Amino acid sequence: MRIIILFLVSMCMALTAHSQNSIYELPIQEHILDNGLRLLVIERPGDHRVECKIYTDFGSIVEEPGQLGSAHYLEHLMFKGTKTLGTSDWQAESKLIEELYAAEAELIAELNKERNTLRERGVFHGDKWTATTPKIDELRQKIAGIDLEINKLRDMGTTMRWYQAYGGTGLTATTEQEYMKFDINLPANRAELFLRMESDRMTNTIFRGFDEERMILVEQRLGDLNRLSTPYYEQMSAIVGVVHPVFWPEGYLTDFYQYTRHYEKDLYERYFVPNNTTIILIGGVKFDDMVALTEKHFARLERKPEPSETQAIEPVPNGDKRLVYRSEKLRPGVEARFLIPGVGHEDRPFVDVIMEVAQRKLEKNLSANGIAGSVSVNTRVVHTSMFGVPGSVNFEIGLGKESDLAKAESVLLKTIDELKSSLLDNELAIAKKKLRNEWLRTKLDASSLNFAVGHFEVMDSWKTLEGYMKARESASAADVKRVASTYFIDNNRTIGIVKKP
Amino acid sequence: MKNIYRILSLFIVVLLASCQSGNKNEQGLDYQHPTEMGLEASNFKMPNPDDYKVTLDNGLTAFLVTGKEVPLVTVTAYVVAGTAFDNKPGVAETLASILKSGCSSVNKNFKEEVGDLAAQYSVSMDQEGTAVSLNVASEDVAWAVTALSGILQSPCITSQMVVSYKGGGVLNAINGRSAYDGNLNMAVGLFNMHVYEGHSYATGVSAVQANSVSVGDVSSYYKKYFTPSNITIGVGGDFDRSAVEQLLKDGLGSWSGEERPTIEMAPAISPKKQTEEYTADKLQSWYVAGHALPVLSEEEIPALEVMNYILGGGHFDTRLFRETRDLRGLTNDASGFLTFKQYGPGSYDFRTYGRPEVLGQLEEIVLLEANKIRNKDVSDEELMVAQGALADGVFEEKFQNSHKTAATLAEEFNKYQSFERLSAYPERIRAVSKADVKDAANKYLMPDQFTTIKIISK
Repeated sequence: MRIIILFLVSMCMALTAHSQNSIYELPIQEHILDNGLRLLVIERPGDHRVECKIYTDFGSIVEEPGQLGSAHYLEHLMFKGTKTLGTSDWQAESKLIEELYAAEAELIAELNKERNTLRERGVFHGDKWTATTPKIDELRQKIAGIDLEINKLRDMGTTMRWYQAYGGTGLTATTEQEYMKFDINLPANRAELFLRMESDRMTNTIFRGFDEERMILVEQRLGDLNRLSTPYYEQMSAIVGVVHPVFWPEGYLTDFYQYTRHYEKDLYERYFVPNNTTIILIGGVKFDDMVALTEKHFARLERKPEPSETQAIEPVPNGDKRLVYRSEKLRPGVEARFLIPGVGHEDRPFVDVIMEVAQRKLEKNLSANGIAGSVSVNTRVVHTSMFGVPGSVNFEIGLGKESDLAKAESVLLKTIDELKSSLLDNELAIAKKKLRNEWLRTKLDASSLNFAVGHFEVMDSWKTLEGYMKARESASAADVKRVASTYFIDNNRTIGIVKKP
Repeated sequence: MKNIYRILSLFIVVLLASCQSGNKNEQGLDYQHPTEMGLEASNFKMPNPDDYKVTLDNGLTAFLVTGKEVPLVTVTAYVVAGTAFDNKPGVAETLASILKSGCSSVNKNFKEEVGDLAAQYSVSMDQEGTAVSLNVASEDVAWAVTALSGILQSPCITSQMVVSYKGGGVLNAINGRSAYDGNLNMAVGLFNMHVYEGHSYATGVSAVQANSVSVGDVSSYYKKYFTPSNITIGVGGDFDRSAVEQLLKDGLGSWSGEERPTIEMAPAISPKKQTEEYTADKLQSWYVAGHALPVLSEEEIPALEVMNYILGGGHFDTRLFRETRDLRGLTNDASGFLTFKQYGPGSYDFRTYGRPEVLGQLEEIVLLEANKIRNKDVSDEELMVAQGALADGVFEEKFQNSHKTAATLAEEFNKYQSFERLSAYPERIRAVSKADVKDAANKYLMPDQFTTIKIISK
């Protein structure tokens, strides 16, 4: 009888595990065009909409110092229309554009020639540091004049307008460290509009309103800096990672004034090629139909040389670092960060599990020690939480009063140590359930699911998404202990303290 | 000879055509214009609400929309209970804060259980309604329905809970003319504060107002509005319909309450021209300007929505967006927001922000464009884009999955007790003419009567 019960229990557990694993399975169908463009489709029969996104394996990690934010800026420029949409007279505009690029080439040559005059030698220069010469000013005025002429021919907003006219919603674009994507949700029987528009954007983009758009990046940066925590987080990232551009911010104000059309055009031509592109469609469409339409709109594009990736390799961490950030207004707090591996490394899924366990443990331990504060355990660097390269896990505590700093740091470090030693079964089960429900919420929403698949494709491969999720589901206490012991070590630690000056 | 001319003419035509075509390919001009692609009409049909409707004997109505997308369920209760309906400022908000705790006589450890089950719980309340929502794994649907039933029927209206509410909103975030935290929400809060000053539709509760609220105040408000006939529940997701129907009967079927309360119409607010300046220690400045709106009929709303979509409807291709952002690089956003209310004044306001030195320019453009749309017809193209976006886009999205469909149907029924308004919406949008847009602008957009809020960073 005992054996039968044991058998039934183990059968039940096996069935549960199977049913839990089945939630990670995705009926993705793939088609790769001869030019290398990848199409992924998830059919959802009965869905009257289709979520369309196009991903480029390109982001801020390919930027150079002094040009930070140029990847994000390129995304803005790619909303300015094409040769086919956005102008009332392409013939006339194309002549002006030639003049514009010639003038800018002259400006770049002058900037290079005057490099020792222009070189910034100070430290406390503020955000609006600029240096110039009369000749440079003259060339800039010439460029502005040509742009004014081009503006007279512009038909603004056309890239967005036709999506909206045909029922498009959720129109947006995002650029982070490792990807750029454009998004639209359309009635399912109008998916072809997306393929026509994006094929055009990938081939024929014209950088209209360049200097006006530069100021939009300034505005977005000012918005970021209005949050008191932004400069602190940027300082933390700068010392957590030593060389990897994944830790760099999305551009300083001084960078925005240095972008040129030539630099952006070079990025556009190198990275926006079919063999560096993935299209993902999820909704009420049929795979075969989408293959035919994608061939129709994209097959004509030529395969180009494979774009380069960043050559940066983060050195092995070898020091216990500490940042003390002084702010009159920012809430006091303490945090510990550790470098973690990127997606594609076998340990990365377990970091997600550890985060969930640690969040609850830390909340309980703070409360047990009579410390009033908030806890956030996360893997965010700038705006993103997952990378195909090393990132960091951040154990953050915000405090009600500064006098709790030392005690909170002690609780924080003890809690992190607990992850290496003891773990209760229910702690692990609750963490997994949290991750499972989050995944289901992602899967329910076509846009979120589309992003999950696309993000994995640029970080590693869409084919590893399912395995990643299943690895989290199968995590044991031993996995948590092993991964915590591997990465949460003194020589891989950066402590951040926020306090009053 | 004629033939030679004919052949020569034909040759020239073919040559010109081939040159033109070669040009097109080289310059990428062989892309069809979207209007010439022959895109089909959207084939969306709104679901029939009767297929999902369940009415309990006590008058409580639910919409149960099953969908096998993923094993999750969302249960949401909509209640016609808003901050405008209490007799004393802060009473409804105090109840909302109690609901947010999730505490009820049947469930004292609600927050812990939400954590253990990895559920999501939210409560929202505006001037005219409240929504209480739980999202759980399908295996936990019984817990969710039971927990929600408890929260609706016996929330912890105790002196301890009432005292713990300290007020909120913009009133607590300013010191005279100084805003502690300059941002767009703050500017909108200040706009509402000035527009609705002294009116029941004002939002925000001061600490003094919160302190004066008693258990009796909250209890009587609760009893009046939290009654089965005034509540509609939406359940969407992967669940067994008959089992959930039974859970609702078990949890809420024996609940007897007052009749659906009659909501009295609140007095209208006349637009008043005024400019109020605040300061903040930030890098940008903020501008919000507009006025109150009267209660509009369902026939009047579509033209106003189309008009606002063209002028500033919160997307990338509005007149305001093009003029302020695309053409001049002044701001990340400049948009118009319509808020319609059923029993009292709504509002129409414009929001933008930017580096302090451009705020004046932004204001000029908002006023210029607001006046322009009153005086001149919109173009055919603008009308076509707005109609497509609202009728095929915004409307269809409300039904994208079982969770959204259940929420849409339940909320609509809770407010209007019918679906006439919702089902007629796409056709009403498509019927709007250029003259209707201009009329709506002249009737409901009054830039010379704007209440203007500026938060200026020094």
